[in-house]
Amino acid sequence: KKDYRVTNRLQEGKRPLYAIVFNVLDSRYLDVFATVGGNRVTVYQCLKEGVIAVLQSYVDEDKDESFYTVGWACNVNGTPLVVTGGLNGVIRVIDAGSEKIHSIFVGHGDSINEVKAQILNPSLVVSASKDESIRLWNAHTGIYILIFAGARGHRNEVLSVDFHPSDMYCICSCGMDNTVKIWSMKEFWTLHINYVDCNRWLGDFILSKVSDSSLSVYYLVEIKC
Amino acid sequence: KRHEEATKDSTRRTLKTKIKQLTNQVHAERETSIKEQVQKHLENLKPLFSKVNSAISRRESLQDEKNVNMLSSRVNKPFCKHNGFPKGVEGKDCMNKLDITFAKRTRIPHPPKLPPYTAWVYVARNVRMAEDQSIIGKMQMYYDKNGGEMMICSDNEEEMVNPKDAKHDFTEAEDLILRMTLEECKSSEEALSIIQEFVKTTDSQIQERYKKLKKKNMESLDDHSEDCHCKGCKCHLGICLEKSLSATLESFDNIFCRQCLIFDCPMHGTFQPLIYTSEKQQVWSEHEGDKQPCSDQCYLLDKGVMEGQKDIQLSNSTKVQADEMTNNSNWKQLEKNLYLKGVELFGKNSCLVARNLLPGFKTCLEVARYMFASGESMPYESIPSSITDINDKINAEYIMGWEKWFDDDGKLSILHTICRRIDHGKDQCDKQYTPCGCKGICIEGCPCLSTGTCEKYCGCSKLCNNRFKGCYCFKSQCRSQLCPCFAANRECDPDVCRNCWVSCGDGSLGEPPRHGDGQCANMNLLLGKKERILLSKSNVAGWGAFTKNPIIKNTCLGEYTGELITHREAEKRGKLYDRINNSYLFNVNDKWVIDARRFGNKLKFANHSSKPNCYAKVMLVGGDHRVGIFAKENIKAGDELFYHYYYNEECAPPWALPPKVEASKTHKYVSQGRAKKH
Repeated sequence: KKDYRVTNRLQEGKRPLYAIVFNVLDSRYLDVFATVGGNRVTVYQCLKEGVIAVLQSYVDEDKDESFYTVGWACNVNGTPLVVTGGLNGVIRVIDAGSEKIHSIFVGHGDSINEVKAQILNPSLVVSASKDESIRLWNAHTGIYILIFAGARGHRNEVLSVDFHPSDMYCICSCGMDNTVKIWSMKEFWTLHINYVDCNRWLGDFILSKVSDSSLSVYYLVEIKC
Repeated sequence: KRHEEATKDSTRRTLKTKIKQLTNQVHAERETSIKEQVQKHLENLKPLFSKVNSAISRRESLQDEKNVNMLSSRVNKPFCKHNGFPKGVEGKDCMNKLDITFAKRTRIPHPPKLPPYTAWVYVARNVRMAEDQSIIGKMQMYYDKNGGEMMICSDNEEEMVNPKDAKHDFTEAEDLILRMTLEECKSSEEALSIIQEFVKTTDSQIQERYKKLKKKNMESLDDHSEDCHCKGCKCHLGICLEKSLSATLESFDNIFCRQCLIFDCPMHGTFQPLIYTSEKQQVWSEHEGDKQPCSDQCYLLDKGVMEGQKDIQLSNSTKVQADEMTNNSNWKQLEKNLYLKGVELFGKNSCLVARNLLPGFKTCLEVARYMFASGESMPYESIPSSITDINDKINAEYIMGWEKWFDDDGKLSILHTICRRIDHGKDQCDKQYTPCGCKGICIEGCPCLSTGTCEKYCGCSKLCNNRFKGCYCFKSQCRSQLCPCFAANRECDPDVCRNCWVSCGDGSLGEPPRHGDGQCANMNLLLGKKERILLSKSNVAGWGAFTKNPIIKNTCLGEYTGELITHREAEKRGKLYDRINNSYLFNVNDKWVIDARRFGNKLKFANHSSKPNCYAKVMLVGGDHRVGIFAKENIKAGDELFYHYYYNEECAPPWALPPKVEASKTHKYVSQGRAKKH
């Protein structure tokens, strides 16, 4: 087993940090991660000997904004993008290559809970929102492609969303309505009694976690795509 | 007695031991299969790893040298570096503080904020709620803004402990336990109590599940037997030819909707008995001799049939009997019924009958022979009576079953839910219309007599006194109380009303005689007429509905559409909507409530006002109750639309109370505490 140790500790302002994510889309930046908290987005790099370097820092002009999630994406010309969203329901795409705002995605009716990019096609970004919908965006052109909502959609907040590792046309999502949903196959199963706050693909399995009082229960469900 | 008790105890212990062993065995098998499958999928992912690695590495080559990559340059020149503790944490207080000055931060522009909304789907008509959309028996969560936490939406804690609503999903292991246990002990009370320790449900559900398992076993045994139970029948065509036409079409008759004239209607799922009206006209036309033969097997090409006809005319008994014997023995029951249906549709035209109803079964020549041999001996009058008699039997059997299927505890319970209505005080109980099956004139047993009037979909004749006759308006265009349809809060029907017609096409076929100045003004929802509605930020709350064009008084703005749910479902959803102060429920009749939260159109964003410029009206359109929004006065272009929600005063939010009562109710509303966190 590996021996993990705390090698550094950073304090960034007084508001809580809601998300941290490494850039696994580009081999140049595997040690670069981004954090969001309050109206700030910060990009760090892990160096040797536990040193952490601050590479970039962004701040939203609206002090009341509170970013809840952050994700990495990639432009078609290889430029790294930082995608973030939060309380205002507007997704900001920041061009980390030029340190400027790349585009702004308006469409969700409420808070953004998670954004993810597809690893094989990193211009595809999917977002989960409190307005009970999931939207698919093209980060390069700024067009939104699909809305996953409606009759068979979630009936409460959508908390988490993830792409299938090999099939980019398949996503899964979970939320406050006790369901994990698989999209583009039009099938879903109700597994949980309490709300689900995290789900991930593991091959053809879905690992989902639910908070039942003080016990965290994990479910592993096989899905044939 | 002691011996009996000892025997019972030993039996019980043996049973428990067996169940535990079975459970452990199932778990072990499950664990093994999961491990194998996980290993399998990890191996499947290996080629993906190399694919991803190459994709990740290829990002750098995409970069143009013209584009300066600030992220890469920042790697060389960061803002600052924070030294770590490579050997571990030296002290808890040791912490690096990030203090980049505000000037160095890149600013993200701040777009204008939009009011929040929930994702919704546009529907042009009311959509009946799907089975899986029900929230009865499920736990509902909502976000409490004051407390800043998720809360469980429930008034009574007792509701949480009610297992009757929640259906238990039996797993394979539990099914095995049930099958083994009940086969041995045959559903005794002791066995049920033991099973409850492992499977956490009620007795009734366990027994129901066992019955289902029994049925499955029987069905699996039946699968091994022959598909068709008829003797000597070759069913290579997939249809059993020995069955009669009525039996074959039985399943279709049960799902036919007489209001929408379609099978398997999503709106009205109820069973409606088939009815053959006595006013049906006969269609017996002789075949014209000039027509061309329809195929190689057409009877026109065979001279023998013509001779046969002559023989019949000459009443040669010997040949006629011989032909009858030959033809009848080759025809199956289904083919005979199809032939009768064809004659009913096309008359004595063997070409059309053979082509449309008997393709692949009989040729035109065979149909012609059968027609000439036995056609005249079966007059038309006998067909509907026999079919009707068979249908009566089928109806009697299925009505009971359908009642079970449709019963959703649809009683009109006392509403505690905030629902929009048409007017104060009156909780209008329009009753949902269901076509009656009376023959001739309705008698006291007819359900329409208590509901209201009979419609054109009912089985009674046009002479029935309870049937709605329509209007006879000329000049008023059905806009006032003088029109019987308008006065009864219903829309005109082109099939029933005398002068209300709908023109279509370019008029080249001519138009009905025009008695009025223009088209009927009381068919807005039927024809889908609506005004252009825009959405924008409202001065009152959230989103608001606005008009694009000026609107004249009493114009129909559109229909308030949404999801049709039962009153019980509305109560459940209403509790959640009350917590988040966002409700789109609208009372329609004694059976349905419209919920426009996830399905609807733009009119659901119209806000409430005590002095509105619009009003809502429930209209009877084609037998269904629908909600229309009408202009109360002349409205200018760009004005916001309001109408009165007419909430029940007992549970209305303060902003929807009438001005007089508001003062006394405000304190009472505030005193309503938050839902307790469970």
